[in-house]
Amino acid sequence: MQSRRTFLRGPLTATAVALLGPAALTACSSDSAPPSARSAGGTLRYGAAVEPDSWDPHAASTSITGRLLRPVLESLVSIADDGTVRPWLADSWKVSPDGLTYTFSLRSGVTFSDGATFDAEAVKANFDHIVAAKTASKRAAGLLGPYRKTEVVDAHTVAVHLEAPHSSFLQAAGSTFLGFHSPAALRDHAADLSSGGKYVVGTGPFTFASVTPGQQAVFRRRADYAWAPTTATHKGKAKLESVVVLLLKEDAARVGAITSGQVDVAEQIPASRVAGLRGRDGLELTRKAIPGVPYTYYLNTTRAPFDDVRARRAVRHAIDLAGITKGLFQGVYDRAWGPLAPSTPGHDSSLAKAWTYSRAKADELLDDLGYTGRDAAGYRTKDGRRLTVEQPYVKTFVSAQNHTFDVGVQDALKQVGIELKLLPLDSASSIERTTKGDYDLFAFGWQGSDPSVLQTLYSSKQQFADGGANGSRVHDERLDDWLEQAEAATGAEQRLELYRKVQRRIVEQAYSIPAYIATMDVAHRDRVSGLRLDVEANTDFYGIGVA
Amino acid sequence: MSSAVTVLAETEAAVLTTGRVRPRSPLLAAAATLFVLLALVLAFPGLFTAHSPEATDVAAALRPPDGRHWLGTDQLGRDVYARLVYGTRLSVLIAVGATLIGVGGGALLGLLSACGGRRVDFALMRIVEVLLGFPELLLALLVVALLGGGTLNVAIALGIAGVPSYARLVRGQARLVLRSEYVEAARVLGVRPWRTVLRHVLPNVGGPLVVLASIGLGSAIVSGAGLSVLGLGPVPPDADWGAMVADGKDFLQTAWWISVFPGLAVTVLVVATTLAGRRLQLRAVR
Repeated sequence: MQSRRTFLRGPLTATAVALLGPAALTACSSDSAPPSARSAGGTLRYGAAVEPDSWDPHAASTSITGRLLRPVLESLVSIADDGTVRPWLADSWKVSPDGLTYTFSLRSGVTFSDGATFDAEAVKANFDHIVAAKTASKRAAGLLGPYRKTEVVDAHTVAVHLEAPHSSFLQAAGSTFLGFHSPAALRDHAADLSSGGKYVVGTGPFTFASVTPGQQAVFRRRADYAWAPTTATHKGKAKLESVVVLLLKEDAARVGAITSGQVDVAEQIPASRVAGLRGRDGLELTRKAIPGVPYTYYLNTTRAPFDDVRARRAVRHAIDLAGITKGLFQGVYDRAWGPLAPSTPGHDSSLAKAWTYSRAKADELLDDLGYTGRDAAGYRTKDGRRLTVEQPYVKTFVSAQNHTFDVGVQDALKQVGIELKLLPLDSASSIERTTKGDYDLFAFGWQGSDPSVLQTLYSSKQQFADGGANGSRVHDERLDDWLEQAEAATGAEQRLELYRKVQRRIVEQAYSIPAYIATMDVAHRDRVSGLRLDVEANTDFYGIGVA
Repeated sequence: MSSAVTVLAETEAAVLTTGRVRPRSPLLAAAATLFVLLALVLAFPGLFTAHSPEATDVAAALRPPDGRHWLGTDQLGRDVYARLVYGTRLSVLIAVGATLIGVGGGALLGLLSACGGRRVDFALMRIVEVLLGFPELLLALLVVALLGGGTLNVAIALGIAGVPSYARLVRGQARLVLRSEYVEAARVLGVRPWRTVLRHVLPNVGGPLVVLASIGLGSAIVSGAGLSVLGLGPVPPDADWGAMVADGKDFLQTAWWISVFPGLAVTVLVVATTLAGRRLQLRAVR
């Protein structure tokens, strides 16, 4: 009889799991946090939302790699909140009139935690490592741009030579992705850098003590640190003795860990939970708009129907972006109006209200295009063929909230008679389709603090097949001209003005439809002081203290 | 919730162990009513709700259950009750499809194994044993990984995952039948082997197979919903109950109704199917 009982119980327990969903499964996993994470004192326990794809910023593509390694690997310059470039490991710098050579004068007295001195040779070794084929850099090499070589002028002077002007290079030099490993680590442990831990050696206020894949990473304070940038809130060694980063990928687990006090800081609080955490005892929320590109729908301009600007404008009129954003994020996020998020330097605020939500206008444009018939399902037809557009996506890369947004857009288009097919693909087939241009819409966001990202997204030379991210497959000579001029521009304001022109042109031509502006919401317990989000909305561990 | 389920399970278990099943047991009557209702929902979903399952209304997002939206609305303002009603079709379709594939494949493999001689039997049964070594859901996940997600593929995956256990049952039953005197008689009379299998073996294997299948249906419903929760099931705008549970998982604390009602639907349907299956089994034993 026992077997009968257990038989019955099998599906029933499984039902309970189906009922409660993955949240129930992962909520348990926070109990299994290693004991070392529970010790208090000078230790900060940080709940991270994503696991880095590599712990070597030179190779990695994930933003979190830069976020978590900022306390370990430092950069030539530091970017202030207003976007200005300040000295850090470089005291000063000069740009040649042709924009092809950047000469940095390096700070003296800086050492790596393995004892080596930070000098011009170290800079050269690192930049050469980034562009080396073996590194297979997914992000850092792009930041270096048209890099030619690094020349060691003397021990404390280094000249970076470029093939072409690259006006965003100084900004990029402030990124963790162009941070410096110890030359000895690059020489002896190049293959181990990606897995993190003790081989990742830098000049920063913390050292990388250990890492347990899928669970946690531990960082310890360095006692002799004395070269904080002017953008930092204090000088000398860090306030924290150590930082324990716990990987809590499931939103429910991370929110549970911060409300129960198992972690001191939790990053990326989902919009649906922000209101519930606000005003809760012992908890505080810090937020910063994420600079870069909003979650955006790119319309393929190389095939029908979106090769016609009227079709692109029609779908833009058809979607109630404000309504969907409000419904999905309960007023925590704002809708977007332009190709850049408002917190990005050079954002053109004149684009707000550049178009209206109007089904009537969408209908009018679609009628105009000849999609006047209707089939049994209510979709528009032209010459007997249904107006269908396809949007491929890769499940693992699209967050649940972005996917729900897609479903909202799907219904909005149905209201004006357009069938939007969402096609779930694996990564390889998605790459194949996007490279060939076999899609009508493709959607993604992009985090970054410089408007030069517009180059990667809209230059005709940056198609998916070229390794770029021109999702709309735009070939627009005017855009190309302005983007090139911006790269070569020497005056900061002149450069930003060019990027504003680019944004206006993109909106005017409706190449893409920006959806909503995400914010980085970080929750912390009240024992944490001095928590600050830097210009890229990353937590600044150096300035944090715990009571 | 779970205690109610346990009570239900134990009542049923008690009924079974004592062997006294009243034909008009209230549980079975409830299950029967449910199946009639289910058939109606499957055939005429429009009778049960005036709302469309796909129409979004962002101004009415995340409304709790009330007179207008009986089971509330989700984050896009879609009516949860309407989605539940229309989602029934896919949930049931996946489970029934999976069970049919499992039974069909299992019957074929089992008969081949029983009638195909020692070598065929040995080879097939070793394969079946290896497959049985994997939990069904894991095997289904593997197949989905190969075929990709979607309604049809989930049904195929769950069907394939079910094949080994059906194959084992059919093989065992068929071997028993093959040793029986009437099969012996048929052989002596010169009836062709394939005819013997079709006319004599298959019908006698069918009874236990139907019983196992009716019970397997319950676990297919759960597994199908489980795969959908993981995002491997129907592609929007289509949704089954599992996809609805997944839709609401980030809103459990603020808008519990999005996930809880489809979860309850899965639970009720599985319990009812299992009860019916047990009843069939009992009848077969007598």
